[in-house]
Amino acid sequence: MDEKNCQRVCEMLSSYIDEELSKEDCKNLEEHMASCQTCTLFYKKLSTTVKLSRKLECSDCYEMPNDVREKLREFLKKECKCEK
Amino acid sequence: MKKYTDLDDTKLVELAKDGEYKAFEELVQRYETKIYGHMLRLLGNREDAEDILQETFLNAFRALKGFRGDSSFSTWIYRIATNNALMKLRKMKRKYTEFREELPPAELLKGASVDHSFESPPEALMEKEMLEALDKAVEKLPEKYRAVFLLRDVEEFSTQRTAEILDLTEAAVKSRLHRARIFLKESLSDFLGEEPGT
Repeated sequence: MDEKNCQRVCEMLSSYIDEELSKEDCKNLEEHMASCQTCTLFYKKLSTTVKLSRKLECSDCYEMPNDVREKLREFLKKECKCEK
Repeated sequence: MKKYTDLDDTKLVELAKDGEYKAFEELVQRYETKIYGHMLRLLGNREDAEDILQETFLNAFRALKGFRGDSSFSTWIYRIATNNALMKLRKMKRKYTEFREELPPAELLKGASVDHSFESPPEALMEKEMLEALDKAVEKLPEKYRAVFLLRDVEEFSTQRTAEILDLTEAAVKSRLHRARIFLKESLSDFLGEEPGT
């Protein structure tokens, strides 16, 4: 497989995952992947990484503790009222 | 009596501009949790996230009169927050964070809302480990890639909105996102395996 072609395909894979490629680019990319195991494997791993990344948002660790919320409200009440 | 919860952001902004503090409070309530989570991921520690959260909403309050609504309130508040956080990061040049080191790995992803209903226990366990590895890799991303990655893949903003928030071209967002994803994919190579020839 032409290395330059593989490089070009790999550069397009994020846009392919995000469905931001033109129909023609999609077709060319899929044709290439049908005959290139390296790019197909690269695509699968990149796609798994993206799917996994979307699950990061749900982590409880990034929820706002109540005391932070209360401090924010108090801070804003005080600061904003001074500026009214 | 007005029910602020029934109003959309545009109306709340209008009322807040006219001096109704309760309308501003409703906007704060709508975005505080999301902005805090975004700050925590970008900055990596609670203290800074809390400071920037306060600074962001105070900046928003002060600038509200000049907000023309060219972008949505959501884009605008994310822009203020992200800029504040990036400025803080530049000042501190902090690469690693104490926050994550304080927490044992199991704690880090406690309660991650992942649907394991179709997975066998080993697969679920594997995913948990992968999420932990991914989370650690995110903090090692250079800040210009981290901000794009967090907005696009974690917050799931569109390319266009991410570009608006970060004041970048869409092409730059796409390019940085691709670099960030490749970096993170490589951080998962223990789980995903190496590619031939890489």
